[in-house]
Amino acid sequence: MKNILIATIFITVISSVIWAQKASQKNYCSTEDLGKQYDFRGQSYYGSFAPGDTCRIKAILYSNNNIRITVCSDPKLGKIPFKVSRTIREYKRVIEKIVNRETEIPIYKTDKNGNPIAIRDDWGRPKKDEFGDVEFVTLGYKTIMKPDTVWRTNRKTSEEILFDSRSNGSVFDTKFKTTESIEIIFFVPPSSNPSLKTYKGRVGLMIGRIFNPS
Amino acid sequence: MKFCTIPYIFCLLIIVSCSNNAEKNDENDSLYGNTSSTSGNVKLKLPSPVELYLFIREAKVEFKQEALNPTNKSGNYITRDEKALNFGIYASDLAYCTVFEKQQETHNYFKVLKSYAGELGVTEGYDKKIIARIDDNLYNSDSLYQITNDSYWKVCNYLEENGKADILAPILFGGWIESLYLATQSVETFDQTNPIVIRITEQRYLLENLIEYVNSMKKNKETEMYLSKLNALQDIFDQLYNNSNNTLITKEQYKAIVQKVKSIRADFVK
Repeated sequence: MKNILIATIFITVISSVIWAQKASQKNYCSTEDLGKQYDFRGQSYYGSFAPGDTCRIKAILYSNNNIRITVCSDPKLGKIPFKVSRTIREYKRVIEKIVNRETEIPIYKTDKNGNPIAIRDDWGRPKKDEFGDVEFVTLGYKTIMKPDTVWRTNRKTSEEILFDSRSNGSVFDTKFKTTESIEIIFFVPPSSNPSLKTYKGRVGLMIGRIFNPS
Repeated sequence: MKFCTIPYIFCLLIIVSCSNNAEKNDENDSLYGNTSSTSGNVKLKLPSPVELYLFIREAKVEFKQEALNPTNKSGNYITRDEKALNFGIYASDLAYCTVFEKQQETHNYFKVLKSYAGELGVTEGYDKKIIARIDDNLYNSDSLYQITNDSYWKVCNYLEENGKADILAPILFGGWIESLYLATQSVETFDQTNPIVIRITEQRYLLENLIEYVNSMKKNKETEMYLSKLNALQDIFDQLYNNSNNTLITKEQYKAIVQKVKSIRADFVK
């Protein structure tokens, strides 16, 4: 009898542990509520977060699509503010060095005027490669030394804030004219409730799109 | 006596359950930055290949069966890394087939993916039930599109949430390079105003995220190999930043990108 009681207690403990884990995995984001016509598969992100946590997500949004970005979460975590910014890139390519490199170049068969002879197709037209360039009759290859510039790209990025849920509402709807690299930051507000200090709840950053070809 | 053992079994179960959790969290932390920490915790995302294929389809380009990695080559990939890379490539080919409404090809590619998923231990999204759903909807293009799109999304999500970057990175790399390859194969003649060419140039943003993602991973032989290929491609894309305002891409630059993509992809599909 005593053993049955112990076993029951253990079952109860295990059940509650499993239940607690399941509860924290619950998905609070219903795509039906967020906009049925949007496809949220692709770049949305789900994770477990505790009060005080911050998360940054970098995503790429193609031009012309209707975009919807929002955050949904375990209600115990409170309202989760988020900010969307566009990454502005500045690139500067600078010459690092110029080196002489061995380069293989084709030797073409030439006509009496010294012009390369084109390969002809069955119709007698000059044959073109996949890029639309005429292909010439190649006799072989020779190696020459050719100066080659080695470049270095200096990258600098800055941000332009596009949306802040604290002042713009909880849903960011947009459409970009050109493909954009964006960054979204959300943070879980710290909790004054001691029982929630170590609590981890689910947060979903939802990035939806409606495809528009042009 | 029989009952006496029960509590110990439960104790053991609890210990196993907790240690699994700890291991999972550690993995998550090292691969994605500290999930529960503050700054420095960046998640890098890429649009799925489907988005590029939808765009290509709308440009009224023909379906290029010969450009896909044939399913009969699926037995050629032996190592886990080769399998993961080609899982990405086949998943991308599958997406291409569903977007172009090729039912039989969709079924064939899905079957290969199901078998790879089992071997890689990522059955999420690629189980028997899904194969049955595919068969049931073989002539319903919309459903096929939804099912396959769902599967790719589920598997990527599952790998990300469980910190399995060692599998996710090659899947993303394989899937992306295949989509870029198929995009280049869809350009009949080069013209910098061709919408597909423009979209190809925009892939430099995806490339940056992919490089950042692989860079955030623990370094090993495989990640070094990915980085060397990705960086080589980035060197070519970087040349676009030298162009004047009215030149997006020159023919030479385009050629260099096409050739590099082709050679990276050829190394993977062998």
